[in-house]
Amino acid sequence: MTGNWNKILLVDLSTGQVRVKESGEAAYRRFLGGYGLGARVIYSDQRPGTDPLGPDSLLGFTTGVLVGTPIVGATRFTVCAKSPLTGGWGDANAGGYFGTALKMARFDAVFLRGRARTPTVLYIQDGQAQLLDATDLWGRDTFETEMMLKAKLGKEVQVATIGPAGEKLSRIAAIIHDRGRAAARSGLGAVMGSKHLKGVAVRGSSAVPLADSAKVNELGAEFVRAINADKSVAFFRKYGTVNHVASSAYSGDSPIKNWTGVGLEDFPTAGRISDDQVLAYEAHKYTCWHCPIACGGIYRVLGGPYAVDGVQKPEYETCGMFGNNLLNDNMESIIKANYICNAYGLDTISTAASVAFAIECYQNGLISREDTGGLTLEWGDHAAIIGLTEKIARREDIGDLLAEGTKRAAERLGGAAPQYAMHVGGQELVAHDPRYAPTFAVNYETDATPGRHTQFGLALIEMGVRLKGLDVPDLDKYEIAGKGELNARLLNLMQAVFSMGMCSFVFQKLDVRIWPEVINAVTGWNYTFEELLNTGARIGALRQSFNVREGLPVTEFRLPGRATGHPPAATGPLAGIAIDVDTQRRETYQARGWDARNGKPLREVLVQLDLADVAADLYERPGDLPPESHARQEAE
Amino acid sequence: MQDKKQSSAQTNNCPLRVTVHVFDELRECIGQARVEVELAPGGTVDTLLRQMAEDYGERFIDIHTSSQAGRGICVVILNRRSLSLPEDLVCTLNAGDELHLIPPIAGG
Repeated sequence: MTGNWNKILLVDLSTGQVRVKESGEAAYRRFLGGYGLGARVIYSDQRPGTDPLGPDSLLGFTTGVLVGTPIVGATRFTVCAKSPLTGGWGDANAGGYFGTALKMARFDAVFLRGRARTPTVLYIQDGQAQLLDATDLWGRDTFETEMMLKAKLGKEVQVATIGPAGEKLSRIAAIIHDRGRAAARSGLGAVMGSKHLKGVAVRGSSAVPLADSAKVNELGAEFVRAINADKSVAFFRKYGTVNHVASSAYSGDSPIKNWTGVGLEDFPTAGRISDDQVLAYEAHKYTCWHCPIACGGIYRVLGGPYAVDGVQKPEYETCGMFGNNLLNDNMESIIKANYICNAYGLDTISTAASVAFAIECYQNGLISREDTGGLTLEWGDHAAIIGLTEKIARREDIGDLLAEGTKRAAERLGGAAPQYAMHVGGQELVAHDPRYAPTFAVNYETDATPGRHTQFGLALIEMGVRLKGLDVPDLDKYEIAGKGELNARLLNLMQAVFSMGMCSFVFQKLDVRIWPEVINAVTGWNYTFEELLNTGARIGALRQSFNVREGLPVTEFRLPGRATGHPPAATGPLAGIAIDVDTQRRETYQARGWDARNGKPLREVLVQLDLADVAADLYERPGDLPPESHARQEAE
Repeated sequence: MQDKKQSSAQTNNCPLRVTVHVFDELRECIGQARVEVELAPGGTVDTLLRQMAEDYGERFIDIHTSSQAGRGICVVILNRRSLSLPEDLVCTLNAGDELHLIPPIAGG
């Protein structure tokens, strides 16, 4: 096989058993890698109703068919498991060097189950794997852990690790690689913590086999040329995503004051935490493996209460959520908050959303100064924001409750608290307002990992990105009806491309029609664009089916009215806008071939997508646990 | 937006000066975040964007083009109120008006 090794590492942390599974080429062709492959394996091999923090849960680290090849931007690794935050499908991904190291260690993916008796690190080295005692690492932050593992195993080793937040089972815990590349969403750091798995260390030195290496190299070089010739890339290379922190505050793209404010009115100083004001702290650039864009950076604050050094750049989401959404214009505190989250292993989006929730609760008398351990919670008070972030990281005082995520915290606090919890399906919303790019509304509600922006779909076009190779007419983004088909097509495309391990930003710079040619050069297959879309549809249907089988009320997930304009804002750029999510939902469900009444992908759609086993689960034995023999045709 | 058009009528023949805040690639293009632009009396949002395209080149032509293409891709805010484009390109401007021009972003 080329493009993949046909080797998936299976680790039972309870018994210490390590074995290798060969899934066969068909599974790779159908799911490509990433959360596609992850969903296939976990759907098949994990019983419904499994406690995500129990020993029977499965945790996957997957690469993708393009990862480790000369195709630039194919660096992403994906972590998959049932989410302790949402109770449904969970995935998160990150760039850096870990994914390529895992692939070059001659494994396409690793799945772990069980619970180690003592803290453990999985060490993978060029086709071999062993479990190492990590008692000395338990309790340490991700920076220390990575440093100590590199000191022990060699500086070439790439590490993905949890910090104290994951150890303490925070449902908003992240998995951190390279001092701040975060697979952050879905709370998967807690799954690692529940398994006493402190980290995964990887050393890989094998070139990924390619069907047509000359062609792959040619395509890789062509992509570098195309990216460097793109006039927008130099700007993006300089700023990364932080170029638009202020403009997003003013345009309405970014939430302000826990989604109640207007940027120009409530946060006119957003410019202090945007573009050049962020870059002022950049010590040097950071690039993921072989990436010609290099949008990252290593940051430092040289003095004062927020002094840090050698930390990853806070990206747009972090600045938007710890800045705009909290009315915090102190840049150094945002760099510090990013550092705290990365060191303790927390999702910056969910953490900052929890801080916003707490401030609003405090302002409305639902949380007292006694609850906060003496902190007075005010909008824009950066010292209090940092103090509360540390408490969430350590699970101290009210931070212990906030570490459970806003949905659970709101349920516990009661009263008006649920009104202040900006989540959908249990996951905190990101810093892109659906009233600005309306298709985000339906995609936040209906993705298997709700509240996520990275599936984009049509929302990417509504934000103004022009994808080469797509024939998309000029659209009035506020004309809602008639867009379901296009949104579904774009979701399918992106789920397939991201399952290959591609970075979203590189994807946005290249002609979307090129991907079948790339896949074929790497694998020797005869993929077409339609097959790519079909694969994306299969992956989307499987992720959705996972949630349906878990019994989640997927059709009842609703965004808070603040995010959809119900009621509409009275002032600001988004004044008067109310998104008709009912129409979006109806059209998107129909276009994806999902039943809007119960969320199930239609039986015939599942069969067409080669998911007959899933159709049997959902339609022939709904509510039953699948038999042991069920659905292993891909995996065994 | 009708009320805005009516209230913006010019009453003399003096050139009018407006303040324009620019963001992202537009800021990079002109090298500063805020510029004062002088327009002939009766100048409109369309006049302003055309003049800036002439002064600053290709990227402003892009934003002008996308303003004409459809609502919401390019955000133009006049005195803290978002304009509805392309209809509001005909909005006349007053001396002292403040505009924010926000181009499309990469999703991040």
